[in-house]
Amino acid sequence: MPDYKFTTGKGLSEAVVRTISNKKQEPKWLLDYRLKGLEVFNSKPMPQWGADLNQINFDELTYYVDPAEKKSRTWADVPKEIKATFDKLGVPEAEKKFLAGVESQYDSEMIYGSLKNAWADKGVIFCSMDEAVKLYPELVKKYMNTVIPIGDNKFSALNSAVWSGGSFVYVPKGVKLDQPLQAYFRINTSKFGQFERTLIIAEDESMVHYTEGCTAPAYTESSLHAAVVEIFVKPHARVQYTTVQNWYKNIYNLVTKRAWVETRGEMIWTDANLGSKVTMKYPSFILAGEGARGETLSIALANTDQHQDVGSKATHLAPNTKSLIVSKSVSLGGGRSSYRGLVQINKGARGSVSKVICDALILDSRSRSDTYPKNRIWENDSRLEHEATVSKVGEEQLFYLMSRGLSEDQARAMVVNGFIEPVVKKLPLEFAVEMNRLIELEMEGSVG
Amino acid sequence: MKWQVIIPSKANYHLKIAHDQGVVILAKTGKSEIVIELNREGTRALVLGLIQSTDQDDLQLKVTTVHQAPNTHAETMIYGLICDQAQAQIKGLIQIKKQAQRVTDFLTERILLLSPNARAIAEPELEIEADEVRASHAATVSSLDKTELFYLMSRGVSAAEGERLITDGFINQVLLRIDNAKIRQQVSQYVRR
Repeated sequence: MPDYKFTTGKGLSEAVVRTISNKKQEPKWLLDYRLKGLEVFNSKPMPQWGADLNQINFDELTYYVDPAEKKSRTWADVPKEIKATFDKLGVPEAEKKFLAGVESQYDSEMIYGSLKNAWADKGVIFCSMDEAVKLYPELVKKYMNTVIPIGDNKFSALNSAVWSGGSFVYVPKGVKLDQPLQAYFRINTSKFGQFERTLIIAEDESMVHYTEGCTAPAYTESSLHAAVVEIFVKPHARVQYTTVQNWYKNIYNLVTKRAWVETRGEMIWTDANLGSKVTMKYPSFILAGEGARGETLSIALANTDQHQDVGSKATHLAPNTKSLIVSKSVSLGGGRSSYRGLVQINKGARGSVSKVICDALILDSRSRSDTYPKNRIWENDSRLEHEATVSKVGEEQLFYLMSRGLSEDQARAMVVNGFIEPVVKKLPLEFAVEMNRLIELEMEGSVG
Repeated sequence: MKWQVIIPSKANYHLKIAHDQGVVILAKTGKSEIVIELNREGTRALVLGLIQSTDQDDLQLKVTTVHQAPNTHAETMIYGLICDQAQAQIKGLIQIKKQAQRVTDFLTERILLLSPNARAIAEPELEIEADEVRASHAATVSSLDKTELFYLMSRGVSAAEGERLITDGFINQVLLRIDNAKIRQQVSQYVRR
């Protein structure tokens, strides 16, 4: 058990929120945000649609822990436990050295940050949200809680009240980053909720790809992860946000992610959900400027006792906006995966086009798959296409592969990997490799 | 195949199907729910919906197909023409229960918005608890295809006449699935009245 310098203890109250803010020496406006968040959180009922969240006991959670570890400067200083996490994910030793800018979150604080000097010279800011509040308060104040207002939903309100850690990214006008910015998050004490907050601002004609991977070491009691990610894509900018979520299977992962996309801007969510007990996550984009484009590519894998309730939300506000949502889900071992999505084409969004594709695989008779899309079309000069399929792995596919000498396990893993391939190939290389390994790991012993 | 024609207005229907059956739903406005339950092994259902909403119509139609028995097969086609200031919310749910193995079900929703103020909400949903299944749904919402209209007009057809030909063809895709000439005739007369 790691040693903690400071913790607020179990339970949530105004005193806890004030303590967190005080501990971080925050300005008054931020404390006000937090208190407002707490108020909204307490006033909103638990969402009764979607996954079952009634097992969460908010009084048993710890809302803030200050880890004992100091901020690391070099790779050599990174704690062994974190390196082991990288190893588990299968990132080769040689590749680690080349990982562009690694930001790891150990409990609520960033413990390791390296930003290429070249990027810093261009004016790119990549730091923890806590640092950003101190160093760039105007930017934080201008953008935070705007695309996701405090009252958006119960869990974004909770995050607004007790958030800690997360990343802040600012890319100045015209700067194009050709390598992904990376962040790894993990949770490591039982019953410790993690509430990171991420804010990405991509100025005109800039380009950035942000990636996060989540892993958590084993422990038994249920825990909660409620993050908020806000992204601003300015005219002609492009932002891609990649998540490979592999939380330990007792975690409630309830995340609000939304992007505001201006004229001819482009937002791409690549989202893989493999772990957690329950995930409810619907990365969304608001296409606010003419010709803006949004894309969500997601993979969900629901194994025993897991419910992946994931999807995407596209809101078309301006003419000639385009959205594409591709979702691939796999249910096995009694797991349940649900696609839940919304496409809204507002009046005036002339010439807008939206396409939604949901494919689901069910691997055994104990598992379940649902599709709940909603398509609201208020502009007649637009086009929406939606399609969904549910099927099982074909006997003839398995027979063919097994006649070529593969075991049933291997054959099944190969078919599943082939099924998710269209999304996996959009992930950065090391994530794609991890994905295939994680699928094989999950599929082990899934037969019989 | 036996056919049943339903003209629901603010009424709910629960059909339990034990023999192959065709169902035609002709809807315009109001809130109604139609549940089609396949209870006997080996039965087939073909569900055809034709929606014509005009003026201030506000339609909320839910069509649910429930597969309770194994080896049951269903196909649902819901085609809608939404005109004027009408709004149509069309939910099509396919439910396949755990014991209902070897099931196929396909649902198609096609909605044409024929006026700038027409609005549609399409919600095709799936709830699948069995694994030996093939189920899919597809939905499109759009205006009249401008290239099709342009083609007709380049052949000397007026815009109004062209629009009528295209929507006629749209409705025909559903009508032609009715294999009973008398029923088809009656439905055709009703929708073109």
